[in-house]
Amino acid sequence: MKNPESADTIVGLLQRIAANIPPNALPNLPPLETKGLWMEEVILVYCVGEGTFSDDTSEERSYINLMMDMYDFHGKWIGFQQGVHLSLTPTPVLFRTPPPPPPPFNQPSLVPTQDVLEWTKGLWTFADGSAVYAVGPAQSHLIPFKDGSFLFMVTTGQTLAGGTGRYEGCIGIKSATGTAFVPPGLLQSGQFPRPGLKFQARTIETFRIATKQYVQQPPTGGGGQGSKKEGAGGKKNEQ
Amino acid sequence: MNSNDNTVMGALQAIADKLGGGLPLVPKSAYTDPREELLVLYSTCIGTFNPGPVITIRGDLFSLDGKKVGRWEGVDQPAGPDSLPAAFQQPPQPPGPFNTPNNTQVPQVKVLSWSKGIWYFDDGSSITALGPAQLRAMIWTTGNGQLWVSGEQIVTGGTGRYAGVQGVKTVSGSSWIPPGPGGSPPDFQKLGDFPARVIDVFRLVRAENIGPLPPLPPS
Repeated sequence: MKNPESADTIVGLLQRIAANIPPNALPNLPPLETKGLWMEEVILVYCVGEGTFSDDTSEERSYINLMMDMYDFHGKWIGFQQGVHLSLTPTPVLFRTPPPPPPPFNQPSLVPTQDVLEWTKGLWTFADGSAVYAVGPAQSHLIPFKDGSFLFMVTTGQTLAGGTGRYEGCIGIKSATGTAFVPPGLLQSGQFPRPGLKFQARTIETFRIATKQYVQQPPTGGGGQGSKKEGAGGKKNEQ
Repeated sequence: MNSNDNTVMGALQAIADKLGGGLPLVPKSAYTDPREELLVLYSTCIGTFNPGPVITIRGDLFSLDGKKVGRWEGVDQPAGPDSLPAAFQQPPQPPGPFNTPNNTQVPQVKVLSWSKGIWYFDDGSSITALGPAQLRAMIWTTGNGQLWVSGEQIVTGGTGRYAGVQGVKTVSGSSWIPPGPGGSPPDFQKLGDFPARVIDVFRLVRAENIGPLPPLPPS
């Protein structure tokens, strides 16, 4: 009887085929169908890392820093992100769910607006050293589980605000949605949020990028989508 | 099935694993808790510039392996008459530091549009959500116009398996506009339909996992 792993058996041949499939045979994630025009670069990643509340965190205002490793959807490390989230949302408000938007959804109709109380900024550095900056509004939400723990959620829609390396002069958008686990008792005892608190966070982020060589008029920097230079909760930048 | 076993099925499983068939569509490492549900879906859409301007959009929803899972429709309302011109301008690069929550500034950028939508799944369930959406526009070297929408939304509810659901989601939308006649600039305000591609990321907790609101310490 032949050895089943021998190359001249069906099993052996299939095993040789499997062994020689290169890693780049994995499907494109995200699929190419997610792209607009062919020049558009679409990147879908997840990030795992640590969040830290600012030293002056209160129930009315907090800054959160995220320091995270960034992976593609096949689990390959592709870089890291550093970001800051400013929230002026009082903790009890985080439990609120807004009323459902009124229909219809398939024709022009009322779209509810709301006060924006949270913003984000960040720097995403890729494995080759290239990086993009982005800014945007954000919202947070807290969901109680039945065992007294909570899921803290943040969502942000951002605009790219500069880049370096292959992303110098780029234009585009990105978005991120992340969660963190809040153990039972922490929030009930007033310890979430609290100054200096650290927690594990996980995000999924989507980039849509036009690199400079495909842009008819690359950005010259500055100006544009207006922002207050100093947030209501902003602090003097000592850097 | 053990992909290391010495059978035809085992060897085929090893091939499937190498080609991605054995991988979850959303990496397990992206989940914070097993009670959290993560959906990463893309859609091929038709958008419409309506008077106002107001953008309406509709499309078929697919999971990352290309399987159709539903459809969606939504409305994007620019925040004001200056929203589209502002979309052509780059926000200033944010100041550092980025590696600490202390002694740092976060620019309070203006919201350029507001969005709402409903996502219908093929089992009859649905999810509704709303929130701000940033706009960004530019012209490619090919002369085509580009309009991006980057939305951050709160889930407001659902039906079917998503009745009582809570969560958040993002929208990453891309649409393109042909050059004008004779190579003139594209008309971003021309009424009518345009193609679009969207990636939606949902982070959800279904009703059966949601507990009562806690008694909070006095503020």
